[in-house]
Amino acid sequence: MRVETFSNTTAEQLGQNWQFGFEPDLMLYFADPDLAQDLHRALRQRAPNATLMGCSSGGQFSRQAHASANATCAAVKFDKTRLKSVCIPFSDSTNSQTAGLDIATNLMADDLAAVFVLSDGMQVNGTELVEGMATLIPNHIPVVGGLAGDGDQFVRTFVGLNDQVGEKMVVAVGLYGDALDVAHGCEGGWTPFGPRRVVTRAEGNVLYELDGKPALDLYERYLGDEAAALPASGLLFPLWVHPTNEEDQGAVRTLLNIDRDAKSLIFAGTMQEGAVAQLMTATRDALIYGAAQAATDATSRNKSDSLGLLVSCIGRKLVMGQRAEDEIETVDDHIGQDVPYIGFYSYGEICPRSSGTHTMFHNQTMTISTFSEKDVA
Amino acid sequence: MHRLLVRQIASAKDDAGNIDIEKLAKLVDGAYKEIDLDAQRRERATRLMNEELDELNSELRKTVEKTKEQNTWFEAAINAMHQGLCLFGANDDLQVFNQQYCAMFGLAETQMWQGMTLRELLETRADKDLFFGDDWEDFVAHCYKRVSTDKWSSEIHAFNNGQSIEITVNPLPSGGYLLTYTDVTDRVVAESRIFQLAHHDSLTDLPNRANVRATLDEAIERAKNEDYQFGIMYLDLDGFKEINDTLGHIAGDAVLKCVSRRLKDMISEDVVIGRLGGDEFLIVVDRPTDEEELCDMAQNICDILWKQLTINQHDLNIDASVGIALGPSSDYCAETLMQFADLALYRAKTDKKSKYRIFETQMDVEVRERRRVATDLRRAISRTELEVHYQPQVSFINGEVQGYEALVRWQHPELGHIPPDRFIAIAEETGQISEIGRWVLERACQEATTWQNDEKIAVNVSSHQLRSLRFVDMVETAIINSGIDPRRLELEITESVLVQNPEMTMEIIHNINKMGVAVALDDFGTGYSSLSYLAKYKFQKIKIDRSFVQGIGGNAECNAIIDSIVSLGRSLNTIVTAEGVEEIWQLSQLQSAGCDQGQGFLFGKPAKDVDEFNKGSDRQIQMVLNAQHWNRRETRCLS
Repeated sequence: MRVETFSNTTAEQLGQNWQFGFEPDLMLYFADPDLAQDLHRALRQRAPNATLMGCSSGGQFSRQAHASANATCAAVKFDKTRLKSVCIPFSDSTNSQTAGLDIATNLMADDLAAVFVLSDGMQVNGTELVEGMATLIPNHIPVVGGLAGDGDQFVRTFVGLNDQVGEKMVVAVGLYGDALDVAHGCEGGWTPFGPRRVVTRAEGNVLYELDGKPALDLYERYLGDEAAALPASGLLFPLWVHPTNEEDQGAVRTLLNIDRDAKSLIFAGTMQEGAVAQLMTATRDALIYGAAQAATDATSRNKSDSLGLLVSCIGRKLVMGQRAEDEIETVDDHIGQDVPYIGFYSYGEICPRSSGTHTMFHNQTMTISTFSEKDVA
Repeated sequence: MHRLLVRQIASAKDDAGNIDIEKLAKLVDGAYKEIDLDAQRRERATRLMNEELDELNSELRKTVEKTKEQNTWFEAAINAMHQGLCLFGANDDLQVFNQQYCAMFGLAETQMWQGMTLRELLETRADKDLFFGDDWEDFVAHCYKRVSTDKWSSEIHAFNNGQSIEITVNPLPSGGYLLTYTDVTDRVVAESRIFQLAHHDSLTDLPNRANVRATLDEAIERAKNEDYQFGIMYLDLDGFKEINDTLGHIAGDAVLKCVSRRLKDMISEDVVIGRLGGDEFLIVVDRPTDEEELCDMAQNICDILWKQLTINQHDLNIDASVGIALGPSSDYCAETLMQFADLALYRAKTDKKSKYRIFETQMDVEVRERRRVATDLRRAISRTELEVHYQPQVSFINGEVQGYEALVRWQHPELGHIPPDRFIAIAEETGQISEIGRWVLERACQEATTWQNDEKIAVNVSSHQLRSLRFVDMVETAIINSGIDPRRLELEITESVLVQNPEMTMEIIHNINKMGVAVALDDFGTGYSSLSYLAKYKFQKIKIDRSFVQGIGGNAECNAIIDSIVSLGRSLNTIVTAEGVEEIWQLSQLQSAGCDQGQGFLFGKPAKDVDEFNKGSDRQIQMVLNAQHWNRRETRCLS
């Protein structure tokens, strides 16, 4: 397996100047929203035979460019691993769970070893998408990836696969064969605080009321003047949500949008009525510690070449401010000095919580997965 | 150097590596502002959180206070309940109980504690016999089984100490269950009493008709299934009505109680005895060895009941009759068997040979026939099937017909002529004799008025008719309606009437005599033959029973009796009539004895038309009469 990563500022630079010494099987990219579609087309021309997959994001980074890159790419040549990709466009009426099930149906095979999935970040229910995939894909096959981003604007996101790039799509690539080795880690660093509240009214991923009061009121109260910057400022206070008496089944949820008329909050995952919700906060050090933990968990057991894929939540970047790079630097320290990686700030992360457990949809986490090939007789 | 500052300096360097101070200052300023903003957010969040927590804390305190208050109410409410109450959590742990529970089971509240298991709760009652059955562990297992379901249930526990507690299990949605206890001892006792009253005779406490009938149904079913025989006995006290009439109902009840007690004392456990009503009892004997065992038992019952008992200072001996029937047969139901036993009882009563009888098929045939006669007899008068025939009463002095005895005859449209001995007894049993008697009296009076000569007309009167003073009115009506001279009318009564109701009979006879109607004593010599009756009642005629007339010649005793009666009649200045005179030598003998008149086939069989008797007597009779007449005259002259 051979890997090359590249970060630069324009599509032209990425598409034309990027030289790699092999014919890649897989090309991945993450780019600013205004650059993503052009970059996709440029890369397609540059390596028309490779499986090309990428998305717009809330910021991207690589080992070389921790914060400054407008786009970042990786080219991978596998020795033994086979690939199969799928693009599922969906309309407003398409259930996210159905889209997840379609992906699984297309990719599922006896030798499926892992799935990397990227989804439109604004129009999909991440929880349902993951549930749909989990219907067919067993727990021991890790599904990793995330939801595309739109900087801190929360308006439009793009994903692309091969000849297709645009909104309202979920794309995925299945990696097949015994040789592939995937390690992954997923940590947040956030801490619940304040009273526990009950979700008294919710529909799908829309939260209307907590303890019988409008959910938006709570956020506006806690954000103060910063409430004007909603929905982006809502990332400062994610929600810890879990079924009553089942705290170990909890998940961090961060809001993607608001509806001022309905005084509701729109999340990337399902909000269950009756669940317990608690506001969360984090210090920068706690987030950095979380990223370090995720990197440690994702460290590959193989000494050969490997690729790291980092998906960090846009909310973390917002909280970290100028110290956002601290999180990337700590990954450098823990994932291994010679492991190339690329990553992006997402609107939602997809990864098992730990090895062998079922894939979950997360918010406000740093999820890291490393792909490598082992020697197979 | 802080890694952020390192990055800030790196960012502030231009291509030549010089640091742009202004740019660096801007970055550092931004970092400070981020820290400030972060601190402000944190401070704000903490303040808001504290406010919220204070608010929640305040609400919580209020809730606690409210809960305390509600607990007080709750405690007052559950302790005011009539029921005992125990609430267990999902882990078999007592959470709540009330005072009534402790009171109901005689426990001190210190014996109870929160968290105790159901077993521990039950154990507090163990030494007070507050469980049921023989085995304590079985009882505990039963209780646990009841509370382990998620269904509501209610059960009355009849505890060994005599208490009956209704225990209701209400499963709770959160797991656990609520037990409520209601002391239903009084209700159970009352229900038991009601059951007892509904199924037992209140006077004797024996199973009542419905109960014994149910027992009989069960016995029939069991006997059919297991193929064995059982017996039933229908028992009836003889003369019980007389006891009620003469000593009063209270005495009658005392007799029934005594009889019941004696019966209960003598029968074994597998024999069921019940009171059907009145003085009738039914005894169901399961698996008797044979008929003989039943007969022995019946005799034994009669013997035991016969033993003297004293009621209101009256010494009584109770005579009983028993009808026995054996079952089952494939087509015998309880009703049929009881009917058979009743028939056998009837036979035992009428035969008077034995106090008990076993049912025989023939009894059923006879009874059916009797029943038909009784049914048809009801319509006989309206359908003019009855007729009055007349038998002449002839003077032994001059051979003249002095009167006629009216005798009823029944011409059945299907069965033909039915002799009086087949229907008179039935009419007496059913009470129809009164109606028939009235009809005969009126008919005889009317027809007598059509006769050429003014012979007397004798009409028989039954004991039924003489039970009421209305009989006198009836006689008067018959006389008025027919227009007959009352001196032509003669009413014949038997001695038994005098015995049954002497006071009223005397009054009736007295009133009848006052109308000018004569009264004859019928069948004299067969019954009580009490001379005191003859002295007490003024009979205008004594009729010698036919059995003595039949015995003339062959039986010296008969001759003596006839002589005595004639002599008595003469002393009382009463006409003496002989019945059943069939032979000429009987006539001769009776005339010699001084009998005044006679009736019988010798003078004429009963006939519808009296005119044929007026055609003249048989020459031979006339000769005897003439000869005897003169002989007697001479004898009288000589004496």
